[in-house]
Amino acid sequence: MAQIPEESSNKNIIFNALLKRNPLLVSGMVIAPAVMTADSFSGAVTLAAAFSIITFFTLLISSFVPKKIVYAVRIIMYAFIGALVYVPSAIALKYFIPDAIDNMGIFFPLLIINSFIVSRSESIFFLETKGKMMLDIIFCIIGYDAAVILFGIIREIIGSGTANGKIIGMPLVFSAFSEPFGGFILIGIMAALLRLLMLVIKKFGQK
Amino acid sequence: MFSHDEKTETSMMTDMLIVLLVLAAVSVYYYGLRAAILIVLTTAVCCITDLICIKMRKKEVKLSDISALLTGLTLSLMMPASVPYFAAAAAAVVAIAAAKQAFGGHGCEIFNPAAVGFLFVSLCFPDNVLTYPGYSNTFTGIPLDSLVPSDVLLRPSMERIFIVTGSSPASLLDMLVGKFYGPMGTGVLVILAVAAVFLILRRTVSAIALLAEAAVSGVIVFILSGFDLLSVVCFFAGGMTLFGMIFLSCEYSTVPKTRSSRLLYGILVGGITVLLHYYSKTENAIVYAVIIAAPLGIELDRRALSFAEMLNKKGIFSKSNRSVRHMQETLDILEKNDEEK
Amino acid sequence: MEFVKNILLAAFTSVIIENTVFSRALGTSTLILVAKNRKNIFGFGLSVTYITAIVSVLTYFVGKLFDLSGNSYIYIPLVYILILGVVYILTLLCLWRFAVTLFVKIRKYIHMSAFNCAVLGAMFIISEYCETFTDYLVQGIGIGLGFVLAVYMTSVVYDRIYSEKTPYSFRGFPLLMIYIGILSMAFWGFSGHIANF
Repeated sequence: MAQIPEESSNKNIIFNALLKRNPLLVSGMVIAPAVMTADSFSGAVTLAAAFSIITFFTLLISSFVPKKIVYAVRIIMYAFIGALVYVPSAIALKYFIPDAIDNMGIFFPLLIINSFIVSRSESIFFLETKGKMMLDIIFCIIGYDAAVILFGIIREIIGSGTANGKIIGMPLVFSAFSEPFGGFILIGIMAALLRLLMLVIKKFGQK
Repeated sequence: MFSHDEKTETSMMTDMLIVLLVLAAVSVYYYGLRAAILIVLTTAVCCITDLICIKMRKKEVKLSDISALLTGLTLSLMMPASVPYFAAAAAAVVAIAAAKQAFGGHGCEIFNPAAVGFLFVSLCFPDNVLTYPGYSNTFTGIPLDSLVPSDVLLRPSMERIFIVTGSSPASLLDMLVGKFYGPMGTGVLVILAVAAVFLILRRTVSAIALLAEAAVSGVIVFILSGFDLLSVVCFFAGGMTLFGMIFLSCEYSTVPKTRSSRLLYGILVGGITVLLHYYSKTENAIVYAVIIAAPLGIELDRRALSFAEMLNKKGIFSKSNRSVRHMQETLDILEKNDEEK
Repeated sequence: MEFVKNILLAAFTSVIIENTVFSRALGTSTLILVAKNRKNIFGFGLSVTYITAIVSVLTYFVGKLFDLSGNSYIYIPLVYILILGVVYILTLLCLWRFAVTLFVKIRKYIHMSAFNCAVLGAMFIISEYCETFTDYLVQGIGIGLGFVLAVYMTSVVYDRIYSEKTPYSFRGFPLLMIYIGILSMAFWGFSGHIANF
């Protein structure tokens, strides 16, 4: 059977986007909003929604920017497209979830030039066909959203002892995890656990 | 210069252990059975966590490595006698798992594990970890419940009052003997001073770093407090400052290895401690200062060595040849120790 | 004398007390990308500081010209990105025209130093909290220097974090996050975090 090159099969693209190169837990992208705003389930969901909408539409529209333009100018165009996409996104999100968006503060507009758009856009746009590019973008966004929501849930449970605002009977509550430094440490622990999981999957796959 | 010809790590750890056990005995004398339980609990949790982490990493357990024991003792002495058992245990787990084993185990730590564990827990449970009981008249004076009942009067530390009011609430004798509201084993100035001299003479603790820290912070506090000697004593006794300088910042695994970097490191730690104490009004400023100065100490070592190598290459000073040779021998021995681990 | 003291206080606040990375978490992802290469960190840090300084000054003038209240929150990012884009292009053009060697050196990372959370975040923070021109400028430079401090403190331990002695599951990124978290905890002490009891 002919071998499909590892990197470009659909299954591998999805696997890489979700687990092996998870944007939050492996590549370390868009950490600032996660650490500062995703300290609860609702905060994490808000961030996931805002990130998904802004990133998806920015990358979608940016993919039509001709590659012949020199990168220095293209990056400004991507940022400008992001700022344009921000306008309807902000109006829509402020209409549906105004309090949650206000809680995000400056980290909501900062998603315009999030590190995923700035650093990954080149590898996504240049190396893949349109179909694979869309698959990569969608599953990277799903991977980030899943990681952030899990992060928010865990942070809320061990940091405030609540689950989506309702108090659950946690015997111990480590309020440090609700603070930014706790967020950093929790990302580190989750990243280590993911790496352990990947090792287990690899060993299981080899058997 | 780091004297590599007579001190082995085991004898240094033994010296530290002796001093810490003396301080532990004093804290049990002052605070009774609860202090003893806390010390044993914290030390046991540290050792068990260390063992579990080493087994998970599939490394060999070395019985001569009592660093977890030392971390446990140091950590327990930094806590109030009324701290809940879960807080002490949490601090122990964080200290060993996050600050020591995650970074590679003994010898690879960047930060002092006890400092990290204590800081984490004092930020998680400030009401429990930063309030102190008076010293008990009887052996079981402080109740043994995990959460000390509200009828036991828990007060803010002497240091907090010193920071807020600017004057020391305890008398000189009380401060020398350790009879004030503060952590279990960090306030007995007399014993700490004797311990410092003992450890310096035994070359377990770096004289340059410790004296630089104490001198810089002492002089600045003396000036800022309006030339009041009592304030200087209060600064060293309260907020575990002297204890932290000996056991947290000058500990052999976290202090820099070269003479010049130890001096600069000492000045840095002393300066940051005073800055936090006076400007930010932070309690237990030494703990924060030790953590911030740790990566800077690593960089100072690297810079000192590359500077000396540069001087050696240019043949500028004949002294530096000897210094570079010493440093190279030091590094060779450190590498050999690493390989043996 | 009072003026100098205020400037030093403002600078100290923005570099150390409210450090860009350790207190505000801005630019963490950029820090991870940059801390690898020890040789370039000061060059990168300098370019970030230069950009935050210039954009903070321009933000001041824009704030004077436009009313930044009400519904303008939707259009402010557009204005800021425009400012950023103009500064970026002009910088590249000036370098290409007058200092080609420098241009070649920084070409690879200038885009990262201009388009990151730290710079855009700086513009938002400064326009919210500052009033006078000196405030804007000092805070702008301070945020850049705070970022440089964070990158420096991370790059000095980079070898240790990626060394073979660390456990495999923690090696690299997870340990880097724990390291930044511990330093962030220590910098928390500068903000005078006082327990209330």
